[in-house]
Amino acid sequence: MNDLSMQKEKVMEKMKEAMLEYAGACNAENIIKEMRVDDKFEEQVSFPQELDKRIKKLITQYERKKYIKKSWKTALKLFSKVSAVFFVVFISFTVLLTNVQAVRVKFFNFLIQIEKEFTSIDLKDRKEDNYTRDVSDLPMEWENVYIPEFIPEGYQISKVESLVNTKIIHYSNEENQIIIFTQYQDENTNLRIDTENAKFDKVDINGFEGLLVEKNGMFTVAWHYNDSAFSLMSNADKGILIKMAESIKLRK
Amino acid sequence: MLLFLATIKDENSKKKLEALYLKYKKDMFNVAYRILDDYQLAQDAVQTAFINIMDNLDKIENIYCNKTRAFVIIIVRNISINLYKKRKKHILLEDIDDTLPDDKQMIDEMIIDADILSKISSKIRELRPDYSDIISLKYFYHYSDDEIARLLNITPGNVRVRLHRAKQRLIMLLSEDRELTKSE
Repeated sequence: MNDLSMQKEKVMEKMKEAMLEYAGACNAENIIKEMRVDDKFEEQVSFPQELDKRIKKLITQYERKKYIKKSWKTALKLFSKVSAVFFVVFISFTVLLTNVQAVRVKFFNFLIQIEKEFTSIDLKDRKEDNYTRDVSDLPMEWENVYIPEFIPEGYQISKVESLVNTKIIHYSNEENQIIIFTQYQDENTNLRIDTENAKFDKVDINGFEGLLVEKNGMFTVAWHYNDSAFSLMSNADKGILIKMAESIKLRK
Repeated sequence: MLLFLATIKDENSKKKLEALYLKYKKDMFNVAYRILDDYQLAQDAVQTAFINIMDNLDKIENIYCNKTRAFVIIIVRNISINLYKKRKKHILLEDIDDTLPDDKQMIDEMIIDADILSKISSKIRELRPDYSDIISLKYFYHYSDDEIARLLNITPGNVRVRLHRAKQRLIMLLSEDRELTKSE
């Protein structure tokens, strides 16, 4: 079918539509003519008054329905706005929480407390923390815990951790060297140390046999003493570790 | 301010509905009663028709013109015919599922001559009221099939079938007349 034929078809369709529109108009006209004829005759049937009541009720209901529909629309619009505001407030709060240190620390403290039975985490922002701690700053609830009395020069406590039967103290110096002291208070604790491709030697710690392991520049000393097991890990000198291990004293 | 304008609009709608009813209530009832010959059923027909008209109130621009009067009559007349058919347990013609022939060829063959318009005017009278009315609603009042279905309380499928048959019947009447003229 070429474009001209298509054009003709469209025009034909329009003519058909126009013809039908004319027919529709004629029908409406005929109805009016018929009604005019009817108007001339007297009404044979009286108009029911109850119909007036029914329609009046209908109009009132229509008003109410429209009002409800409008209220719903308004409510939905309002709801979408409230949702948007809530979303913005939520986002703002989240941004505030992660940007303002005071709020952040408080918020995380709250979260951490929920899990206090299992762990205690230092929440200080270490990057900005110029405050250093010594043994007196260890948690008060730490009782019957062994603490190394010897701390190498330049090292300070940077972090403490407490698990159910485990206490961990992190020391560090300005050269980013670290020492991690761990005490396992369960006598059944089985210390497992990775000795694969590592150098290891037996060492004596206050008359108890221990193990010194060197792997990838990290030194680990592990030993038992009374009912506890201990380990000291560091990327510093192994002599320091042994000296620290020998200096542990029970804090009551 | 917006709420105030909405209230005014609602008040206008209410007034418009009341005015529409007052103006055409007798026409509506008389038409319904003439078809149904039942006082109660005629009231039901008027009520149903009024509900359907209410939903299309925005499309009625002027209550007091003949176009609106004819529209109101068309709705109440068709609602009444539906009720009448249901009461008489007549099978609706639209419910019979048959294949409808294409009217394209008949249109193509028909020459729109000078007096075709007067022929249309007279032939539309020969159509059944529900056929002529559906042509009016579709092509004169420009309602969609779905809108007509809601106005007349029939399915959109029924609208399409009825409309097709109405057009077919009208074209047939016009063609018959033309054939008659030819043979003379």
